Amino acid sequence: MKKQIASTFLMILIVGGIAMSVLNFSTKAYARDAIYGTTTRITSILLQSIAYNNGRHISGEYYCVDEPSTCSIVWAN
Amino acid sequence: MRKITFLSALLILTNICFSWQVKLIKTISINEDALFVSGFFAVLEDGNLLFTDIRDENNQLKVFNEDGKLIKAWGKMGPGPNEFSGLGFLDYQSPYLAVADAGRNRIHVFEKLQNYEFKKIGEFLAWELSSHIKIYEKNVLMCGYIVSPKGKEYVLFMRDFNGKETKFILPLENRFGTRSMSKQKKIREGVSGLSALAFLDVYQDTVYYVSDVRLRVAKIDLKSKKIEFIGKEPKNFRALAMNKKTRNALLNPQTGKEVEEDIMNRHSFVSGIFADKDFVGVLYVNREKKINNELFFVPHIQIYDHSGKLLHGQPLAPFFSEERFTPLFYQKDERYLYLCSIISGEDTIKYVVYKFSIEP
Repeated sequence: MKKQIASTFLMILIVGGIAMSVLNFSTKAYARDAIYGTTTRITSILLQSIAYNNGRHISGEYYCVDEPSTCSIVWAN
Repeated sequence: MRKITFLSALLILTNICFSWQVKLIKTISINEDALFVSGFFAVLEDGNLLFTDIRDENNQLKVFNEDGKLIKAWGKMGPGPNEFSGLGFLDYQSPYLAVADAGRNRIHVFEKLQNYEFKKIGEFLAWELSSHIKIYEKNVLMCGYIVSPKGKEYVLFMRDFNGKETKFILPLENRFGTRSMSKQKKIREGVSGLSALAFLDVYQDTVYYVSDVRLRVAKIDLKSKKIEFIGKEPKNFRALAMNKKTRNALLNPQTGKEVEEDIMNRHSFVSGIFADKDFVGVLYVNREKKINNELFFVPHIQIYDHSGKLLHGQPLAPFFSEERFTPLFYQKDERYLYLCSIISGEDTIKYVVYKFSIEP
């Protein structure tokens, strides 16, 4: 009985695995693109919050925004 | 002699009768502690105000009545499908509401139902967005930085509500009202490190775009793609142009604060734009109001006709704010201009909305 349960369970795993790979169901991880911008001093709390949530904070009151020129933020995978 | 006096009197009278007037109608003090970190807002059909609040974990969207009392709040922060990660820029053009989610780099699009119920009808990625947005037909116009598949750089682009199609509107070289990349680069050298925003409005098929550092408006016909420039800097507009030494001092954390204060006190900044059927309004600010040794920004308005002829200009006192950008919403049908003043207190930030009427 135990053997039957174990083999059924294994079969489910194998068939499930094959089905998922055929249907391409897998956990996908997306790395964020690097941000290129211009080092800009932002002191408004509202604009700071937006730039911070955007992932553009460099340090202190400096953020990497606008067209690519003097800064980049690269996200570690 | 009599004739000259009569003609002069007639001329003065005509000027008074036909000059534009921007009148303060009322101020709306938003209830204290009702907003954490906010400023961007839209005005609904009934005159109530819809704010985004980027720091409120439980209520990212808030509706206030004309007395400044909170009447509805919703929108949790979180990773779920109906949650947000920091709402900021928004636009409302009945019945559609578009809101920029800073944390998710997305635009959420809603349709207004009854009783301040909003049904989500779309959501799309907008990595390239960095400033204001505006609804145009079933598209969202966005200020930011984007590179087209052909490799051309743009600062204004448009995506449909489903996020399937992107249209590139204003090339980078036209950003400061300039016609060539070399002129754009020259201005950029003098403003890099401080310039971060752009403003836009749309009337019918024409978009008006202006950067925060030059009072030159790009007028773009969305159908023909023709680009023209209007706007003239008045005498009291002191355009920013930093040299390399000043910029280095600005970007140095040790000296940055002092240098920035000096720049803010000595220069003017564009702080908003709005358009209607017979005019375009541009706001710029000077830091000229002093209260208890602290300086605040006062906006000035310029009104142009669509061909670029200056019709009117005046300061918008008693409005003042500590921000150099002025969150605004213009109700086209009613000719009401709403500006939001932001003043930091000891514990909270005070938000006051000033309602002006614009009369020709």
